[in-house]
Amino acid sequence: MIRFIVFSALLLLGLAACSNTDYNIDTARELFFPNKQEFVERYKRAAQRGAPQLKLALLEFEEGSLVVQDSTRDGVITWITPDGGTIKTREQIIVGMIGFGAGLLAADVDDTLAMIQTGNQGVADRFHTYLTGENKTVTRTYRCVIAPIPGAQQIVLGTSAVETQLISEDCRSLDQHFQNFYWVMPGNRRIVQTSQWTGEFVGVVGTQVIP
Amino acid sequence: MLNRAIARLGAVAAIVLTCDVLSAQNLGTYGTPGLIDMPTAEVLPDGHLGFTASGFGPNLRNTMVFQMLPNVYGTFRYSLIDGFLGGGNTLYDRSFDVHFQLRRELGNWPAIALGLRDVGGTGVYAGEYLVATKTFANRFKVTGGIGWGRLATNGGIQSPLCFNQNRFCTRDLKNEGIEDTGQLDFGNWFRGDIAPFGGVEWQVNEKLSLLAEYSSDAYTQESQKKLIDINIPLNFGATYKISDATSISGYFAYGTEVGLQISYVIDPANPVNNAGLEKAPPNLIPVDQVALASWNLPDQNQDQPAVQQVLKQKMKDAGLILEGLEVDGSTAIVRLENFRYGASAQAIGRANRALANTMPKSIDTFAVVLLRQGLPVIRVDTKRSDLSELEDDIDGSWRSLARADLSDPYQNASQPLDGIYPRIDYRLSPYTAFAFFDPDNPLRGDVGIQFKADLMLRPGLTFSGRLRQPLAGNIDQATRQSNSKLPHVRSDWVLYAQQSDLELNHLTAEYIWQPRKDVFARVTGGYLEPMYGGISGEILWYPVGSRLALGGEMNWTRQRDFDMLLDFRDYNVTTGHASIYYDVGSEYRAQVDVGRYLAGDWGATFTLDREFNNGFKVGGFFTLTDVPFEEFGEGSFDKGITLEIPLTWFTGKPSKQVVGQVIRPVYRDGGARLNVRNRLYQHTRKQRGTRLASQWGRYYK
Repeated sequence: MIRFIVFSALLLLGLAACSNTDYNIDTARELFFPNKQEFVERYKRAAQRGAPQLKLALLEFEEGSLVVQDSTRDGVITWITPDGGTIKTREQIIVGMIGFGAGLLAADVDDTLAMIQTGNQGVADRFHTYLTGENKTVTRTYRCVIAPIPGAQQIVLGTSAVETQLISEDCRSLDQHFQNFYWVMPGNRRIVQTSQWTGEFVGVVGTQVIP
Repeated sequence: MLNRAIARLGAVAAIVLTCDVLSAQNLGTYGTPGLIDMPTAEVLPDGHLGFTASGFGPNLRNTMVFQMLPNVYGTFRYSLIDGFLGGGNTLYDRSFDVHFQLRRELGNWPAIALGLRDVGGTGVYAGEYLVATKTFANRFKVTGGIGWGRLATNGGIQSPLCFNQNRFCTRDLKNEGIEDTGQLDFGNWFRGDIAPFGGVEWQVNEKLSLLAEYSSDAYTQESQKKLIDINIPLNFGATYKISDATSISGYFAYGTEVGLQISYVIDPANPVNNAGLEKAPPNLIPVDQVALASWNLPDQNQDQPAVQQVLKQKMKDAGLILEGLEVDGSTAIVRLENFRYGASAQAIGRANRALANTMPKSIDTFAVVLLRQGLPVIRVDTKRSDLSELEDDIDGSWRSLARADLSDPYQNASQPLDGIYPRIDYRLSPYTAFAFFDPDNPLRGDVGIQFKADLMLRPGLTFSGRLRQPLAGNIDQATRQSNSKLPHVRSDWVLYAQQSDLELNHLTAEYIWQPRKDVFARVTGGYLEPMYGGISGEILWYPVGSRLALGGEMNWTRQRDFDMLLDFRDYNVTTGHASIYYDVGSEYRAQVDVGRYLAGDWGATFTLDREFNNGFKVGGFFTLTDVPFEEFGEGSFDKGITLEIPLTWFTGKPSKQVVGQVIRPVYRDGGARLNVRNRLYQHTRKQRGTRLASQWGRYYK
């Protein structure tokens, strides 16, 4: 019995991975409490200073969250999730994700963005770079057809219903096919809501600005 | 939260990506692509690793199969045949197979393969085959082949290779006896009669496959010993996929036996959460805002400049310990120990971003010197302008590598920051230990508690110790005594388990340094490992980015007492090896160690590892020495399989921890090497060689 008690006590101590080094404690915590939820400091600081927010939804995982603007540089806005992942957007078009599995390491969406902002339709080239489970980057090229969907689309932003123009982006490569949607304010051509495919692992991500 | 959701569903999603490939596979009772008992000409997708356990009649087969190359797989199998030995005793059999796909299925042509079962084992399953498999209508796979050896014991006919009573006419079918196991039985391969076999797999839907085969295996010895009834040479089965990685199979074999099997196949290149779920690093902020945002603060500690305090904290947040900071003109040089990231490139990327968000505008180059236990291993110089220019670039990782300058950090040593040394790291944690293949109990294990401590007095000088207290288990209940004719340098492992309680696994003083450019050196003294103490010295030549490294090691050792405390036994020996390490490419790494082993025998160890770029490693090794096979005993020579899996492969969270296991069919005295810690190649490789560049994809992660 004494041996059992000693064993149990030591095991519990061991499970806590008693150590003077943070990296050991972090590893043990991830192992034994993988679903422990906590808001990272960076998220809390950004939220407390009243930084802009964005609604984000991982449609295939049926999860959503409010993400907070973390920083901006050269037209790229970085949004941080409560658990420390980041998503980068250029005028609401996703150009990078970290902390979501594969996700997008980077994306070149210049053609798509230009067409949406000018209200043109036609063919745009789009480039995605993914980080694989083998720590290698893979860049994929897509040819996309951008076209407005006829008729005004009414969506709810915050508490208000607004009229938007819905634009579809139908993209293909040799072996992949996906479709993105952008809800655009007709006057200033601002994208206020999107549904964007970000890769095979994460799938479709929805975003909506918070007025 | 978002990445928690991904973590939960990650395993499923990752496997779905490989669904199309895996759904084409069925693993037979031998754990290899096949029907039931008979092989097919198929292979697994390159790099895949499969585990199966199957049982019918007196047979229980546990197999690990690894697709080493796109057209070659190898297996290690541990089988139990109940009542096979005299007196109704169970045969515990270890066997290796190898399978070469000579031609892929293409157009109207079938896949064609050549294979050998049970090479280097007892020979109880020894048989060779030439087989073809063709798919029809995407649902039916038809297989036909001819077998030799055990695969020609039913319906055997004279081989077309046999004429004029040449050497292909006869084959010695008797088992060779346990003392001869481990030797390759070249003289019997493709000899004697041949027999046809064949069958069909019907893939009913994505989940279910039905199987039928005509077997050329008569189970001759098992039938003679009345362990199994063979009524008809026909087998029928069904395989159902529980998930894309896991299948269960059921069989009705030889008209009398019912069998069950579970199979699990993984792709090491696809970790559970793919590229990982770590917290994102702070983004680069415009250089004009840096001082405002970070270091231009009142000094909290007058002894350290504000910039150093801020940088130290940012590095700590990034999982890095800042040990040195110097400014040389417009270059900031930092010395860092990475405790968090398995990929050194990711540590460098995070360090550079911390520097860019902290250092004043006058600094235009960052030099990161990565340390390992205080030893500088690599220096990476990066232009500040490149860092911000490429952060969101579509090809940022590759371009940043192309623009970085990787160099040897020799003479980059500088005075560590105050408070870094002496440093002590300690850890109290549980542990598990395993002993395999004891015929009385093939899987033995212990669990217990261990305490590890490292005291670093100055860079490279470390005092280390580890104590273990087994608390439960059965390793010490093994009763098999060594019958080795050689000095008992390893085969008395049972006595170590039995006669110890609290174990002092090692207690060493170690100094690692760089005596000149591209050269590392190590001296270790004390209780080097559980069975030996003494002094070990090593030198390694390893240029930055080189595929080739050369090393030499000398050890003056004495065998430790069985209680694993402070006393020694009478046996002492001087050992040493010259080593060649070569990164072959395509994830393969070869190593040859030539020298003297613990039993005083001279020889060489050959190692070939396939290490995936994410750190998942499957390897094999064998050692041939001047000890004759008969004198070596069971197994004939030392050999084994190595499996290492980074913890991050399972969790998706950054970690340098690795779980690993070396599996040896037999643990004997010939070809046994000292297990000294921190051998230099392993100590420096991940930061030094081609590995650093190959993982650069994580630089901006």
